[in-house]
Amino acid sequence: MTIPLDPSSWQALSALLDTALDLDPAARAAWLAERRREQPDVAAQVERLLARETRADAEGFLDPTGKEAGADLLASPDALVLGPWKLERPLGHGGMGTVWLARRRDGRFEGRAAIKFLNFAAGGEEGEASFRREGTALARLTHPNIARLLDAGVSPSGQRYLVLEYVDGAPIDAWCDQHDLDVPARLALFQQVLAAVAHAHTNLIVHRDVKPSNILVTKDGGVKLLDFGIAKLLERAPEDDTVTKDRHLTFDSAAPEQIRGEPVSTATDIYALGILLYRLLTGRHPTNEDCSTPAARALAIIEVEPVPLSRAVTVDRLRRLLAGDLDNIVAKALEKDPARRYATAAALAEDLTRYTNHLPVSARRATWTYRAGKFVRRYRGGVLAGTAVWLALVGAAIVTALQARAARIQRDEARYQTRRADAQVEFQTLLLSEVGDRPMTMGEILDRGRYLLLRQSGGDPRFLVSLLVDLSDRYGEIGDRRVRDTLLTKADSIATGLGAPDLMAQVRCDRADAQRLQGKYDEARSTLDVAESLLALAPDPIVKVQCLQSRGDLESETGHSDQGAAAFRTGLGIKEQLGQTRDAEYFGLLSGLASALEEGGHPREALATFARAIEGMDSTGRGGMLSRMIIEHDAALSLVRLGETAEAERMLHDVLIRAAAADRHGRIDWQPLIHYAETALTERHADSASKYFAMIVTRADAEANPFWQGRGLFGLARAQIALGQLARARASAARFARVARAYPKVKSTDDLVPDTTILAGLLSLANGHAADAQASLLAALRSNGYYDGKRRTRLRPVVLLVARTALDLGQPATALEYARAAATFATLDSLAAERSGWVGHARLLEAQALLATGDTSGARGAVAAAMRALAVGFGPGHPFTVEAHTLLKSLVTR
Amino acid sequence: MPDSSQPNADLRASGSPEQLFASLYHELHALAQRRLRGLPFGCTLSTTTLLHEAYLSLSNNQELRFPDRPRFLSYASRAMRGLIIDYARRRSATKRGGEFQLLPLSNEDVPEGSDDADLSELGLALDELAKLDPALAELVDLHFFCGLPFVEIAAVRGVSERTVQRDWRKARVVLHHQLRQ
Repeated sequence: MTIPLDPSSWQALSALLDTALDLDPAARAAWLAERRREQPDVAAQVERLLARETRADAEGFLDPTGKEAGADLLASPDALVLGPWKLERPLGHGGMGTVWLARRRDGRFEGRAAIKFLNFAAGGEEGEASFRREGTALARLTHPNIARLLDAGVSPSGQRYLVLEYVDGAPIDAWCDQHDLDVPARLALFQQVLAAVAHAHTNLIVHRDVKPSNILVTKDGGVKLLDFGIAKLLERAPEDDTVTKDRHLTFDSAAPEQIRGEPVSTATDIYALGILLYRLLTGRHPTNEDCSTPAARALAIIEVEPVPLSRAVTVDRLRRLLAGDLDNIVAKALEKDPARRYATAAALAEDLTRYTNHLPVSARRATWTYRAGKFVRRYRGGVLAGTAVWLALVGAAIVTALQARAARIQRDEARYQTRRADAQVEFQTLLLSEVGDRPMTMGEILDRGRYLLLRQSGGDPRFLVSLLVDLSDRYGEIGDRRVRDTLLTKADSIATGLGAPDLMAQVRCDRADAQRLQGKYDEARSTLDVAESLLALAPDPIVKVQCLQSRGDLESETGHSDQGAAAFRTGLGIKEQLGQTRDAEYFGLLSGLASALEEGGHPREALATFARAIEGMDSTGRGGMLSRMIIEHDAALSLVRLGETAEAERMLHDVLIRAAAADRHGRIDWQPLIHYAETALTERHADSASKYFAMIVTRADAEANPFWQGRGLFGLARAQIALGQLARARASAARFARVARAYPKVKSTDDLVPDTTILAGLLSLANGHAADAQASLLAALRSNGYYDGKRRTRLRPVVLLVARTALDLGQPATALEYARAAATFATLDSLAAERSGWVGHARLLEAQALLATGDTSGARGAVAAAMRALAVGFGPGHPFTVEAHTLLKSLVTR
Repeated sequence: MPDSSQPNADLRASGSPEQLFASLYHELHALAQRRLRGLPFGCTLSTTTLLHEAYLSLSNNQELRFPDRPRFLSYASRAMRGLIIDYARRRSATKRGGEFQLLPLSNEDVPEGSDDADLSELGLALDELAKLDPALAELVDLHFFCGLPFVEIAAVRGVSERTVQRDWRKARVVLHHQLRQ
C-alpha cells in the first residue's frame, strides 16, 4: 500500500487521520466501523496507519526524548575515542570536570579506566610540558591500595585529561557505616590507607587532598586511594592573576598550613589522615563542628584545639574504647605545628599497630589543656593566601591582587619584603576576624579594610604604605577613583613622612602606571621622573626593575621606542644580575623590548628578542599563555617588515585561529585580523584578504569606529582590485575617501599608508591607464613625504608600483631608479637580501628595466637574485616568483 | 540604486529559497564549529540553543533577513536537518574507518538511532512528505532535529499544543509507514 502522492487525496486522508487520532479507543472503533461502511478503501488505509502507532512506540521510532538526535550528533568529531581509549559512558561530574568510563581499544590494559577531563581554568595557563612531566611522575606510583594514574594528556580539542584506574567502590566512611564495622575493623581498613600514603611518601609524592570521597573501598574490602597528587597538577602558577570561582570548597580535610598558604609537605597528609581517623571513629570533625560559616571554619582549623577523640562521642562504651592511647595517637596526628606530628605515615601505622596489639604507643599525652577561648598567634613567613579560603571569605577580586602581590613578595629575597608579608598577614587576619556571618559586598569589604588600615597605629608604617597602595588598586578596579586617589595620596604622605625613598619611588611607579592607563602621559612622565630621582638616592633593585618596566611601557606607548627599549634593556640587565631570568616579570620585560625594537624599526633585533621570549616561555612552562600568542603575532609582523611574508602569513593565520578559539564568542581582535588580511593580500591570497577586510569593515560599521572603517576599506578596495572586482573597488574607494576626509587619523598605521591617491593610482593601473596611475602614485609619494625621507618602508609598495608604471610607459631609466632605491632600502630592512620578498620584487622590476635598456646580462643577474629572494620571502607559489622564474628561463635560453 | 556606502550592496537582502537555505546552513555550521571548539570534551551541543543563537546573530545580518521568527524557523529547521545528517555521516565515516580517520571499531559501537543511513533515509522521506504537506515535514524538523518542544512550536504556529501533538503523531505514523514498508 502506498500513500497517495497527490496533495488532494492526501488532504482527505490527513483530515481523517486528524479525527481518528483525536478520538479515544472506544470512540475510534465505532468511528472506524462507520467509515468502513461508507469508504472501505480509505478506511482501510487509515486503520493500517493507525496500527503503526503502537509499533512505532515500541521501537522508539522518531523518539527525540530518549536520545535527542541532533544534540547527540553535534558532539565534537573525536567524541568517543581519545587516543588509545574508547569512552563508554559518563560517570558523572567531579569538582574538576566530567569523568567518563573508558576501555582500552587494543585490549592491552584489562581493566577499565576513568578519564577525568579538566574543564577547570586552572589547568589552562600551565604549560603542557609541565603537565605531562608531573603526570609521568605520578604514573610511577604502583601500589595495590592506590588507584593508578595511567596516563595524562591533552585531547585534540585542547582539553587536559587524566586517565585513572577505574575503581568501583564506596567512600570509606559510607562503607564503614553500611557494614556496621566496629573499631578494630575500622582501624584495619585505615591501615590500608596508611600503607598507600606511606608508599607515596617514600616516592616523595604528597596527596594533598586526603578525604573520604577520595578513598574508595571495593566489594572485596580493599581500599583504593584516588587522585594522588592531582591537586598539584591543578595548581596555578603564582603569577596568574585570574581566579576561578568553581572550586568546591570544604575545609574538612584542610590542614592549618594549607589554609595559611604555606608549603605543603607529607605532614599535611598526616593531618588529613588524622581527620579521617577521627571521622571514622566518631563521625565528626575535630574542630569545625560548631561553625556555621566558612570563615569560622577556616579560623577554627588554625586556632581551635581539637576536641579529644574520646570526648567527641556520647556513647559511654565507645568512649571508653577510644580513651587513652587512641586519644593521643589522633592528637599527635592533628598537631597544628607540622613538625610535631608523625613524621611519616609509616610511623602512624606503627603506633596504631602497637595500640591494636596492646603495646605502648609513642604518642604522649599532650600537655595542653583544652582552652576555652581563641588565642592569637603570630604567623611567620607565610601569607594567608589559600585560594579556597579567600574565595569563601572575601571574594575574588581582592584575592587576585593581594595573592598576586603576596606571591611576588614571597619570591623575593630581601628581608624587608618578608617582613612586609608579615604585615599583610596581620592585616588579613584582622580582616578575617572582622568578617561576619553575612556575605559582604566588595565595597563593604574594602571599606572595612580601609577603616582598619587607617586606624592601625601599631605596626610598621612602611608596610601600611604598601597595603594602602594595594587597596587603592582594588578601589580602582571597582571604579571608585575618588577613594583610590585618596588612598594613594595618603600612602604618599606616609612615605614622605618616613623619608623612605625607595618606598616613595614604588608608590610613584604604581601611580605612573595608573596615569598612563588613563592616557595622562605628561603626568605619568613627570611622576616617573620623580620616582627615578628618588631611586637614585636609595637604589633598590626590585623597585628599580618595576620602575623600568613602567618607563619602558610609557615610552613605547608615546612613540619613543628607542628610549623604551633602553629602559627594558636596563631592567633585563638587573634581572639577569639577580639571577631571576625565569619569572613572568623577566618575560614581560623581554616582550616589551621586542615590541619596542619592532616599533623602532629594528626588525632583526626584534625578531631575535621575540625568539628569546618565546623560547624562554616555552621552556618554563608558559607556552600556553595568551601573552605568548601576542608575541607570536608581533614576531610575525617583524617578519613582514623583513620581507618574509610567506612565513608571516602562516604564523598570523595560526594566531587568528587561536585568537578565535580563545574568545568565548569567537571574536578576534582587530590587530591579528588586519595584519593577517594585509599579509594575505601581499601573498596574493586576495579572496581570503577580502573576506577579512570585509569582516573588519562590517564590525567597524557596527561599532561606528572610523579608524577601523578606514583601514578596512583601504584594504578591501585593494583586495577587490586584485580580484578584478573593479566596480566594487571603486565603491569601497569612494567610501574610504569619505571616511578619510572626516577622520584624518586613519593614516596613522604601521602598514602601507592608507591614502586616497594610492587607491586612485591602483584603480587607474587596473584599468590600464598607466600614465594616470603614475601621476597619482607619484603624488602620493610626494604628499606622504617620501622624498623627504619619511615613511620609506611603508611607502615601498608604492615605489615599486611607480617602477612598474614606468616600465609600462617605456621609461626604463625611471623604472630602474625607483626599483634600485626600493631594493637598497629593502636590503637594509631584511635579515639577508636573499630572504626578503621586498628585495626580490624590487630586483625583478630592476631586471625588467635592464632588459628594456638592452642589458641582458645585467637583467639575468638581477632576476636570478630576484628569484632566490622571492622564493624564500614570498614563497615559491607567489605570482612574482613565478614571473621571475619565467623571465629567468627566457633569458637563459637566449 | 544600490547604496554605495555598503560594500556588498549588490547582494540582495532576500534571496531565493535555495540561497537562503544555503546561507543558513553555512551560518549554522559556522556557529556549531565555533561552539564545539569551546566545549569541554564529550559535551554535546544543544540544537535549540544553536537555533536561538543563529536567530540572534542573523538579526544583524543585512543579507539574511527574515521578516519574522516563524519564517526563520522554517528555513533554519530545514538547514538544521541537513546539518545533523551531514554530521552523522561524518561520524559514521570515522567509525567505519572512512576517509577521516582510520579507526577500526566494530559495528556494535555505533549507537542506535544515529546510524547515518537511517537519518539519510529519514531526510529523503521528509523531502517526499514536504511535497505533500510541507507543514508536517517542518514539524518533524522542528521537533526531532531541532529539539523544540511542542509548546514552543504551538506558540510559533499559533495553534494549541494538542494540535501540534496530534500532528506529530500523524507525521510519525506516515513516516513509519514510508520507512518501514
